[in-house]
Formats: sequence, structure tokens, C-alpha cells
Amino acid sequence: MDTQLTVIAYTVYLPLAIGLTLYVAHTLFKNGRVFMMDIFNGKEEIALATNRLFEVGFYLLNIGFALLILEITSNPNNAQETIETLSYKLGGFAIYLGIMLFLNLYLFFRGKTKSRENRKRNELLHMHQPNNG
Amino acid sequence: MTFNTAGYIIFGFLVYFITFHVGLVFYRNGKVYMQQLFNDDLHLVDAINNVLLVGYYLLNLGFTTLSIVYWPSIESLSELVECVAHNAGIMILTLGAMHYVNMFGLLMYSYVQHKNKNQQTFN
Repeated sequence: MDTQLTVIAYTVYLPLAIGLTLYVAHTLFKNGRVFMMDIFNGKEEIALATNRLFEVGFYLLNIGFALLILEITSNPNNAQETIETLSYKLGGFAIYLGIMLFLNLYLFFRGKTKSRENRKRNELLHMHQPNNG
Repeated sequence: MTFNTAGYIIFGFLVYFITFHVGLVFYRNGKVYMQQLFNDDLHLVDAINNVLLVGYYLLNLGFTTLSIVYWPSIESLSELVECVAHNAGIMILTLGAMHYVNMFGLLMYSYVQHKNKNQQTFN
């Protein structure tokens, strides 16, 4: 009787946590393709491959984390306690996902800035070579 | 059909999926990534890629077969969910962390290679 509520909480938590991860990852890396194309100077194949690699890494990291924090130790006795436990767990996980999202976004921006610096440096190098073109 | 058996089967399916399908995604996309890093040196890329794939398989299979030995006796459905989720979570998280470490390790290795190559042309 007591563990039934816990199992119900698990069946609510799992699809929501994993679904949230998939949604965040899909959005982040669908829109991150633009950054990747910029970093790799329009080379589509390498940009998409790197994007996919980071995306699957993101999935692994976050789904693993969601599974690790799954265990409910508060032993809820009624619906109210179940909902409170669930909202505590899901809320914490959502905040963690937000932090991961911003971290990845920061990495995208850093890559973009670095690639722009590299391009400017290459342009200057080519300008000083007289036997070009 | 005890809880433990059901847990082993579910865990087995998860491990199969992660080992083969995710491994294939890493293999295919990693090839393109490394070609870019190592300037299309296909010998090097294939060598690193295959070694990484075999290492990945070994790690997966090794961890799962080892962890199954230490599973406690599962008495209820909630314990089953917790046990499978805990073990799967450890495996998935470790793989994700190792994946990022690998990617940046390859990046560092390619920087070192480019630096050596540039130094050679100056000499």
C-alpha cells in the first residue's frame, strides 16, 4: 500500500524527466546548428556530425542524472505528499537542465567567438602575403 | 519470474540499446569529427575510431555483467524501478562524462599534432 504511491510517483517522474530532457536537447541542438555552421565555416557535414555528437553526449549526461536521482526516500502516505515529493524532484531536475542549457549555450558562443578571431587572424595573414591572387 | 529476473531483462535491453545504437551514432559521427581534426588522415581516424568502439563495447559489457552480481534481492516493484534506474543511471552518466572527455582529449591531441607539423615546416 505504501509503496504503491511511490511506484505511481516513479511512473509520473520517468516520462516527464526523460521527455523534458529530449525536448530541451532537441531545441538546443536544432538551433545550435547555426552556431556549428559558423564555427566550421559552412562545412555542413562536419558541423552536423559535431552537433550530433554533442547532442547524444547531452542526452547521456542528463538522462543518467535523471535516473540517478530517481529514488524517493520520503515514503509518501497520501496524494498530497506524493505530489509534493514529485514537484520537488521535477523542479530540481528542471533547474539543473536549465543550467546545462545555459552552459552549452555559453560553449556555443565561445566557439563562435573563437572561430571569428581565427578567421580575422587568417585574413590578416593573407593580406600581408604579396604573392596571393 | 522473480523481480530480479525482470530487472535483469529490462537492464539487459537498456544496455543493448546503449551499447549498439548509441555506439553506432558515436562511430559514424566521430569519423567525420576526427577527419576534420586530423586533416583527412583516414588511417589514423579509422584506427582511433575502431579502438574507441571496442573500448566502448568492453566498458559497457564489463560494467553491466559486473554490476548484476552486486544487485540486492529485490522485494517489491518500487525497489525494482529504483535498482534498475540506479544502475542504468550510473552507466549512462559515466558514458556521457567519458564521451565529453574523449571529445576534448581528441581536440587536444589534434592541437599537439598541428603544432608539431607547423614546427616541422619551419625547420
